[in-house]
Amino acid sequence: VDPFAVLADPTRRRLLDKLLDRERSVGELVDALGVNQPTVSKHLRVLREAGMVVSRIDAQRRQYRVDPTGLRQIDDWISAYRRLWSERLDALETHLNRRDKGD
Amino acid sequence: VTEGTIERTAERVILRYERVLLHPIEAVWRAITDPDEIHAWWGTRPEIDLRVGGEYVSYHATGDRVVDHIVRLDPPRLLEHTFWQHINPDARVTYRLEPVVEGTRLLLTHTMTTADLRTAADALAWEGDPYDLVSRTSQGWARLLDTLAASLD
Repeated sequence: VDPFAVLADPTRRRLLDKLLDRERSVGELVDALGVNQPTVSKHLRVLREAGMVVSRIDAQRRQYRVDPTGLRQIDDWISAYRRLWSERLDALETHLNRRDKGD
Repeated sequence: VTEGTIERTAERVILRYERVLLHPIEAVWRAITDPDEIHAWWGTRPEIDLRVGGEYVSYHATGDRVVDHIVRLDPPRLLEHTFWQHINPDARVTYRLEPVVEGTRLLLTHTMTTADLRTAADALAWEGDPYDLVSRTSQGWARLLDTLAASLD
């Protein structure tokens, strides 16, 4: 499953946002998003198949929470960006120091 | 190498860096806005129309000519421009400068949306693991920085 395609859908991004802080039931997600239950369930299924959420049964209610496994590819992407900026800022700092000595 | 912090929601990603540079704010401002100075540390010489809405045109090792725009400007404290606007319309790079006792505190943020990342992957004809693509770009930039270091030595 392509994690970017999964996250390209705004409803799925809102679902993940709601699950970032704590686990929630389908009913809570329906209330929080103002979207009907079949829609929420459909998107939760996509997220579950992508390995981005997991669920468990608690007191006969299914509780969903974020599963970091499916988000790892995106983390890898972002981490690579993070290193690039670090290198750029190192270069900026080196440039300023050399220019100072040169002046 | 100082690592940035990552703030992530399902919607957007913000890379945030903070550096204290031992130089006056005017010197740092020149280094990030003067094309000749940028050339010295970025590796390529951009064309900059330094006003809000002005073009920020950069040339990349890949041969790409990328037209971005200045979004916010308040010399010598704030510069914000788009970043690969044609494929990441919502991405922003923001430099905030602040005078401190030691010189200047630089806050750099790179904000992108997850929707942008998807579009970027598509536009660059990415197939498979997105990490491969970034690694290739990363190698390109690393080579660029090596060249820069050698030319300054």
